[in-house]
Order: sequence, then structure tokens, then C-alpha cells
Amino acid sequence: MRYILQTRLMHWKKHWLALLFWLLFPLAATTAILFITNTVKEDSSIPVGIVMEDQSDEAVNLLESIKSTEFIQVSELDKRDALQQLKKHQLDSVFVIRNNYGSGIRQNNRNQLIGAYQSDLSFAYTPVKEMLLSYIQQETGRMKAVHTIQDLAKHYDKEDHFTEEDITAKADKVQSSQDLLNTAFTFGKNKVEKDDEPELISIWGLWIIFTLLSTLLLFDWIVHEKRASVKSRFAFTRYSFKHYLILNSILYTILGFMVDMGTISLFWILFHEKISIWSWIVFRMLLNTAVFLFANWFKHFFVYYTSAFAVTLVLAVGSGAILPISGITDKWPWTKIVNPLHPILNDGYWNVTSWFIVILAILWYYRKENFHAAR
Amino acid sequence: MVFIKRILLFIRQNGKKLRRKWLTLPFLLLFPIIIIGLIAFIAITFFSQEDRDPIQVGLIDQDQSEETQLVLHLIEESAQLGSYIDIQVLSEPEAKKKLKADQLSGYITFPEEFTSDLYTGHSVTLPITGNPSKPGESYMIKELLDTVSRHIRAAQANIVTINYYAKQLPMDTDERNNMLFQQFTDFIMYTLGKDKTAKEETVTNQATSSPIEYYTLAGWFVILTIWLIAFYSFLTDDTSHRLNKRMRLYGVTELQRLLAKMATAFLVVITLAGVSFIALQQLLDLTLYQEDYLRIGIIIVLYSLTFLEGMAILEALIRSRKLCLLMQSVFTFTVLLLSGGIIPIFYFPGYVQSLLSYIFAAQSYKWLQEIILNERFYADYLPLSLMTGAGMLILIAMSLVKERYKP
Repeated sequence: MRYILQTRLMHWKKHWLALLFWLLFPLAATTAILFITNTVKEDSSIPVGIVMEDQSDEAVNLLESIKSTEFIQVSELDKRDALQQLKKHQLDSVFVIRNNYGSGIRQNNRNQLIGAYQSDLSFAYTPVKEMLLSYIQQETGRMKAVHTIQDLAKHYDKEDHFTEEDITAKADKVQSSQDLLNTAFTFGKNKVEKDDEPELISIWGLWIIFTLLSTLLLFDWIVHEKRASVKSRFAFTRYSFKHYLILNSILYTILGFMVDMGTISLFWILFHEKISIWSWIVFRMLLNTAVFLFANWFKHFFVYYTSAFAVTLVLAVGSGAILPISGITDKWPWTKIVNPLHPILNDGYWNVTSWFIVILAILWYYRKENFHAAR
Repeated sequence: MVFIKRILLFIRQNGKKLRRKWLTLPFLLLFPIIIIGLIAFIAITFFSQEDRDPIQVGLIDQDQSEETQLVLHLIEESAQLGSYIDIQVLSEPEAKKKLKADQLSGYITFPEEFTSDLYTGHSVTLPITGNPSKPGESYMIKELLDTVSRHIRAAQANIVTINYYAKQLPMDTDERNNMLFQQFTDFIMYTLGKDKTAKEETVTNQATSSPIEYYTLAGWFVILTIWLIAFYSFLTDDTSHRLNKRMRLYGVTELQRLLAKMATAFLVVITLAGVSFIALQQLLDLTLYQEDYLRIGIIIVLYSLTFLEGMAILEALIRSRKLCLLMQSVFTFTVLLLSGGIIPIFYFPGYVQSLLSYIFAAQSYKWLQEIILNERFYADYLPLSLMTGAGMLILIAMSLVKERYKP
């Protein structure tokens, strides 16, 4: 083992930059993608067309409150233009503030105050509509309260006692000064803070895919060294070529474990994300075994590289690491036991593919050595 | 002359390579189609939620009042997105047991004194417990409860105000409490009917740009792009350093080999693009005029050339094969993402949108959309041709500079 370590260290010394790059690649790429998606998510806005048929104070107030909403980008248009742009998918949705809006609010009549138009490609129509409705709801609710209180007052012959302005001011004050109703979300054992929204992309899913790619690319030494002319000399050394490969991959696995540990602690510090330790250990062992067997299969390293990228792409798409596949797993539960990434993505340990990998590894180990000193 | 002769020689060599390894060709052809098919399949199964089981939600009612019944009704009615939820009233130990057994996606607790706190304006917290093994559904419950509590908050402010003024009137307590309950019911019903405020309509452009057409075109564009990178990479081989040196002695430059590779990949992919476009047209039943074919052809030619230039520039720049492939993949992803095929460009932040007119993929895809989906009879090739030209110049400059400083 000592000689193996020594020779490998000599090799690493010459290629330390590449080695370091590929070891840190999963961490760096995951962080970069999270950072970019979060920035873009914060900065992106939904283009909404607003048609003002009514110019009353109430309607203008509504427009102002829509404009002040962060994630909406308002363009004021006339109805024909707005609908035309919606048809061409240049607007997400169009809202028409109808000419009876102001009078409707004042008279406590809220039927069909706005027109809401969506196209068949409107992704954000529902949240925008809900936002608008809840604003209008608040306005009409206030009016309803005012009417109720004034009716009561009339009943007790205390008309003109409470003015509309007083009542709305009081209601606004109540709503803003007191934290009236809140929700507290707990998830397993951890309490989830208000701002801790679920990430758009699963951080562990990304990390697993990038780890897969970087491990595949780090193990290219197998393809290179299998081709090396020095291979035939192994018959004269203490190690067989097979044991040389195995011992070296153990070295790479130890390196992988060390970098993973750093990554996992860093993700905990940065994003408060954790992973089940045992499923990570099992995943790492199985991953390196699978990659080892996979690399042993190739003769040309460029073909190996392209296959590595192809395999990564297929797993990125189909394993549920990045795209949600709950639609498939609900319908066909057997996909869970053949999906090689299912255990690590769901805090499990192994499934059918894990055993398949183990059996292949045993077969590989006990197959006949196919080269001799004579060759 | 020699330059062109050599390029032709390498093109012929590449052609031979393609013929020699014809067994991998079907795989190269099918790979992007399989990937796109898989993505489409995942998306369709994800969005067709009709036959999905309802989300199971537990409810622990420690308050047991008529008002909590109303709130329960409000929650059920507010479930959006077409997915429905199934609420069952449970005791706390029962709910915990069912959550562990994965029979619940989460449970909500109405705390004691929930109603009286609501009326008096004390702060109330509604605890929601999610199931860690069903994170998506748990967050859906949370979103739902947040919406509901926003509605209640608005109603509550009004009720507390009414209570405040009613206290100043000569009303006895029982009568006032009855009236408050009446008001609470009214406000909940009022909230439930909030959809009456808007008259909703869906505008469709049936003729051309339904989502199916939109995403089929995008899928074709993605397949085309993956073909470009796949065939380009297929033609790359592991020629040893020694062989490269010897070739350089004969005056073969890297640029010649890169250009030959680009040309071969281009010829193959353009043929495939033509055939697949006819399939696409049959599939979508598009009506196109003769000039449209010419326009689409020009755009696809310019797009493919610029894309391949990007591939070649990266290859000339980066010596490590692994890193080069990684960068080419990153380039491909970025190009596809920014083209607007996957996410419509108007959802991007403003600063990204203003950048898009300088990105060849966004330009190409925009005009493809205009011609195929919006039936426009015009396309502006100038920006695209300029970008193709600029890409070529950068490629030549890069590879000349690299050649000079090669060890």
C-alpha cells in the first residue's frame, strides 16, 4: 500500500491543479447555480398588462398598489393592445379595471369589478390574480365594516357618531399594529423560519449530479493507465494490475470522502441543509464502485468522457435529482427500486441497483485474469 | 489553396470516420430525442394531477367551536391549482401516528381559545406540522394555510373594529357576541365568494401558438442543438501529442482541423435538421409558404454555424479535454436557456432581457417563433450574420494566437 500511495502522490503532485479542480467542482458548481437561480428569481418579474377603464381614486389606488408589488411589472395599455400582446405571449396576463370599479367599491357591491384574462401559457396568472383579489377584498371588506357599524349606530339612534374615515383608520390601525394571525411551520424536528423558503432546485440533487460527473471524470486514470505501455510489467511486480487498480481507487475514495465531508459541513453552515450521514456513506461507496466498473469498460478516453457526460445528463433528467418525478413514481412505484439515485435522494441506503453494482463488482473481482507475463 | 485542400482532406477523413463507426450513429441520433422525450414524459405526468390521490391533511381541533368549522370550510374551498385536499379531524396522538406512517402529508392545529383570541385581537399562531418525507405536499399545505390566514387577518381586523365600536353602543354582551359570530360567518362567506369580483376569461391563439406547438418547436430546437454538440464531439478523437506534432511539421494547423470538424458536423446536422423539420411540420400541421422555408433555412444555417464556432473556440482555448467538454456543455446549456425556448424570455429580469439581443441563440429562436408560430413574413438576418462573422473572426484569432504559443 505504501508504494501505491507514494507513486500516486507523485502523480498527484504533477496534476494537483486538475485534481483540486475536479474535487471541488461539485461544491463550486452547486453553490454557483444556487446563487444564480436565487438572484434571477429575485430580479425576475411577471409582465402584467393593466387596462384602466375607470379613473376614480379607488382605481388609481389599486393601480398604485399593483405597481408597488415587487414581482410584478406593470404596463398600462388599452384593451385591444393588451389582449393582442397576451395572444402573442408577450404578457403573462391582463387585468381590466372596469369603469364601475370605484362606484362598486363605494356602494359595497363587488361583483365583476375587474376583468381577468389569461392565455394558455400564463404561468403566473393565479398568484397575480389572488394578489389583486385580496387587495380588492380588503377594500370592500373595509366598506362592509363601515356599513355594518353605521347601520348599528343607526339602530341605536347614534347616527353621525362614527364617520367613515374614523372607522377605516381604526381598522387599518388594528391590522397593521397587531400581529393578528400567524402560521408556524415545523418540518420534522426543525422549525422552519419565515424566510426559509424551499429552494427552487434541490441543493442535494444538484450536488449529487455534479458529484457523479466529477467522480466519473476523476476516474479517467483507469482508462489512461490501462492503455499505458507499462501495463505488461505488472506481472513482474508485487501487485497484480487488478490490485493496483483497486488500491488506487481506494485512495481516490478516501479523497472523495474527505472533500464530501468539507462540502457537507459547508452546506450546513451556508444553507442549513443537511443530509443523512449513513446514506451519504453508502452512496459514496456505491458510486465509486460503479464508476470504477464503468471506467474499466472503456478503451478510449475521449469516448469515456463523452459517455460520462451522457450518463450524467440522463440521470440529471430522469432520476428526480433536478426535475420532480413524483408523477412517475406515484404511478409506477417500481421505478423507485431501479433508479440508482433514489436512495440518496430520499435518505435511504440501497435498492435493486445497489445490489446489482455489488454483484457486478464481485464478478469483476473473481473473473479470470486475462494477461500473463508471457504476453 | 493549400488551406482549403487540407480542410477538404480532413472533411473526407471525418466522413470516413462517421462511416467506419456507423454503429454509434443511431445512438447519436436518438440520444437527444430520448432525452427530450423523457423530459416531456416527466412534465406530462407531473402536470396531469387528476388521477393523483388527494393530499391527506390532518386537523387537530382543540377549540371545537363553530368558527373553526367555518375556517375548515374556508381551507377546503381555497385549495387552488386543481389539486384537492382531504381533511380529517383527528386527535393529536392519532395525527402523530399517521404522520409517521406516511398516511398524512401534514397536520394543522387549531389551538385552544382560537376563536376568542380572534375576536379580541390577541395574536394567534396556527401550528402546521409537515411530513419530511413529503416535502412538496407539506409546503403546499403551508402555502394554503398562509393564504387562508391572510384572508382571515383581513376579516379579523374588520371584526375587531366592529367589536370596538359596538362596545361604545348600549348593547349587552350576549347580543354583541351573537352579532360578532354573525359577522365572522359573513366575512368568511364573503371571502369564499371573492372570485365573483373578477370576470375571468382565457384568451387563446388557437391557430398557431398553443402550448403544444410552442413546446414542440422548443423541443425541436433543443434536439437540433444537442445534435450539433454530439456530432461535433463525436468527431473529436484522442490523437496523441506526438501525432499532432508531426502533422504540424507538414504545415497542418489546428484551425484547419477545427474548420473541417465544424464543416462535417454542420453538413450532417443540417441534413438532419431538414428531415426533422419536415417531420415537425407534418406533426404540427403548419402552413408555411415557400419563402418561409428559405427564411427558416437561413436562420438555422446561421445558428448552427455560430454554435459550432462557439464549440471550436472553446476547444482552441482549453487544452484539457475534460475541462473543454465541461465548458462546451455549460455553453450548450446557457445557449438553450437564454434562447427563450425553455422559459419565455419575458420572465427573465430586465438586465438579462436587454442582453438577449446580443445573443445569437435568442435572436435565432425569436425569429423562428415569429415565422413559425406568429406567421410573420419577415426576418432580420443582419444581427445574426454579424454574430456569425464575429464568431469566425474570434475563432481564427484564438487559434492563431494559440498556435504561436504552443509548446
